Amino acid sequence: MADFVVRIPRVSVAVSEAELVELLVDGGQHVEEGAPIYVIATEKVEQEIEAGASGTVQWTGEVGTTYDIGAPIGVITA
Amino acid sequence: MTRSAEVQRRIYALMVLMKAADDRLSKGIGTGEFICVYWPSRGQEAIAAAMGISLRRDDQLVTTYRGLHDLIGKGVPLEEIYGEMMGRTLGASRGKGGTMHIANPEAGVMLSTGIVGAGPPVGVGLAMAAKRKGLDRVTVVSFGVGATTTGSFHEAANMAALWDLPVVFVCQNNLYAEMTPTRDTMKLEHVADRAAGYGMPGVRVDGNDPLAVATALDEALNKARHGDGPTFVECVTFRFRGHYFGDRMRYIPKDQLDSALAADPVPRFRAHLLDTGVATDEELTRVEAVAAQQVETALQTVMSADAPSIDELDRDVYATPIRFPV
Repeated sequence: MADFVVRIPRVSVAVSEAELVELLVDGGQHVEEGAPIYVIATEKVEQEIEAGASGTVQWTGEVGTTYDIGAPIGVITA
Repeated sequence: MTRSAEVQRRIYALMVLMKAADDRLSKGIGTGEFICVYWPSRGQEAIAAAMGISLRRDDQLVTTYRGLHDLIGKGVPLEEIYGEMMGRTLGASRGKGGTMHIANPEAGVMLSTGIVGAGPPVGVGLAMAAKRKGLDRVTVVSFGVGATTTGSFHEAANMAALWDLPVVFVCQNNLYAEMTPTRDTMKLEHVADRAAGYGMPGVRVDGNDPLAVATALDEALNKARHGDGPTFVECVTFRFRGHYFGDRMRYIPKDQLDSALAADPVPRFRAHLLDTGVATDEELTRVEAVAAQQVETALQTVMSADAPSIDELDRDVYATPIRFPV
């Protein structure tokens, strides 16, 4: 299976960017599809984002940085 | 009316396909896999599946932006629906319209509207055309509870009843008009009671029971097809994912959401099929796997398709764009 690129999701209609506020799983750790793996903040609301696939996660995004919707912040390798 | 085992299995297959299509969008958007805007229909599958088995292919449908389930029920290919939602060339409107503007005349889907209450007058126009042409097709207009409080609904319902037009008004009453509960928008408890004001029958059914919905629809369709005018069918249901994807649903009381989830039409109909011996657990599990695979295949096809080119911009917009500035 191809690697799953972790991208900032468009969690609401009017959102164009989100701040990466917390990584819930360290890089190099295994994640299960559907489990929360990081937290973003949009419109002053924090939200946990689930893994879109199972595998080993590696992060490229930096906590405290604001990213456009769709920006890659990591990858999950099966 | 008793439905054959084959029809009941078709209803279930449609319901699980609608659910799988909604679930996959929710997962994909929520995890950042892709970006698309949609108004989830999860929870309202029983109504659309009943329409799917009760309507003829040449019957016409006007639906709304919360139309994923309705479109699947009427036979619009999943690739065309997803393709339009994600702005790809293989979308029903070649990727120009988006989620709110999906039409497929071959399947009888004449319009999806993005404006609450805009569908009924169009549906009445289609029904008037069918009557003038001497066709025995019926137009079904599907909308939510909020639409019945608009002026356009009033005009459409009045005219349809006055001229005995072959149209069925299907109100998918999910108890909210966007974020406003029905009780805050109308004095009536039952939306179907509005029908009496227009001189047409109004029936209220359990919108989570596809067999009850199909029975009401068959009667309404038969009546319309034989020149006896319109019917208003209120199907009481719920939407599980709020008004739009990402809606945090803070305005929905927790106990209301919990009891709605407990009445989820999909597992409920599954249990019915098992209890009545219409299908085995193994058969239904296979139907569910086929639906999930069908959705995944459609999604991958759409994801690998192109976005429309700039040449697509004016196509289908004006028939003869003569003397238009370039």
